[in-house]
Amino acid sequence: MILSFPNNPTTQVVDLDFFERVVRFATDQKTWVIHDFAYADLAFDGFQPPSFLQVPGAKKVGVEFYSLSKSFNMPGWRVAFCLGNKDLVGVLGRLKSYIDYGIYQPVQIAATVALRGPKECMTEINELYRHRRDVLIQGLARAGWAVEPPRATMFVWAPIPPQYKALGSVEFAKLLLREAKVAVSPGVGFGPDGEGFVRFALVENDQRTRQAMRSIRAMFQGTGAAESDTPMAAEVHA
Amino acid sequence: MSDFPRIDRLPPYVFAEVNDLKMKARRRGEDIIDLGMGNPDQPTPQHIVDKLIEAAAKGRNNRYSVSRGIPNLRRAIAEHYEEHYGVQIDAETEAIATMGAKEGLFHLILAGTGPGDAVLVPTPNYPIHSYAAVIAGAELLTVPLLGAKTTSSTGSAAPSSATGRGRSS
Repeated sequence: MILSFPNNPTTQVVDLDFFERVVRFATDQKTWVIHDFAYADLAFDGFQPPSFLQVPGAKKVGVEFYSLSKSFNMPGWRVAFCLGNKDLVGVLGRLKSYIDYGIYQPVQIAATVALRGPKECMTEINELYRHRRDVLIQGLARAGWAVEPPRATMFVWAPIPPQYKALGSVEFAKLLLREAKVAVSPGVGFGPDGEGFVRFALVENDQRTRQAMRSIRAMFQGTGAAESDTPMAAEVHA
Repeated sequence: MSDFPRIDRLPPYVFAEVNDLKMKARRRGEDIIDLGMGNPDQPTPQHIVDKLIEAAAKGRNNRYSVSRGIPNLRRAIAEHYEEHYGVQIDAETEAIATMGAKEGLFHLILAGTGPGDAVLVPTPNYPIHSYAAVIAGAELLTVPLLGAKTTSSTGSAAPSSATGRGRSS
């Protein structure tokens, strides 16, 4: 089974107890576990995502993927790791030995420095996403769109407001693009069970995020896309 | 059925529809704020970039590297896990570097599964988690993460009765 918490797109998080149950299940059912831990270091409000490998016995049933993409702002560098069970690490290594000659060595050397170097940059990256999350959630709330703030990841997973629900996530995403000039990911893109939601990625600065939220509010109010940097208008219907 | 059955198993990318509209709007000169793709916008910390430049300037670093990752890098991730999670990893046998988690996860599924195996994934999910199994030819079993309804795109087996080969030990 393939798990991933903190989760993309739903932003769902789990505690260590969940992984303990997964290890028990995998042991009983003789199932392998792959845990994709891509958002290991993007968590807020004091929450620390647990590693699957913290569970005693986890290494007997599975592996975890840890990535530098989000933790160190290195997405295009393509550096991650498969860690844990010797057999799984072994088969992956054997397959890869037929396919590639490894990551460009200077990238590996710089990645080593990232992992061993000062960790303040990780705190700063985390703080940046937390702040954007708050800006986005507050902006949505002002538009009358109440969404629970995520405890981790660089996303906000938002149920489509009732008045637009019937459109479905693809049509609603297109409407946001046309009317509010904001691009989001339709939930159904993450599988049929994602229908009814859209995903916001926290990849624009505070000012642009605020502008996007004002445009969405204007669209909900039926006044079209807001101009750039329009001062906040009065409260809207909740 | 075309000449490329594996590719036929891959449906059109759902995000493409919205992406196309976005590109068209931008070409018309519209200012679209893109909160779609989870592509981090911030620069890599300077000390990491500096090290890359320094290392790239050394001729010997431009040769083919090691598929599983250089030993120092594997030791560094083992130290990171020890420090952050109190987890001990043997850098020699329990760690391998991959070209992103996406590539590594896909290749692990390809290496380890095939027809006759079942891969269980919660949905909605990051698409490669499902499509790795589809490409590998394994049966895909989905479990709804949002707790709304129980659906399965290719099978009806519950997690406890998943079919296919299990671990041998």
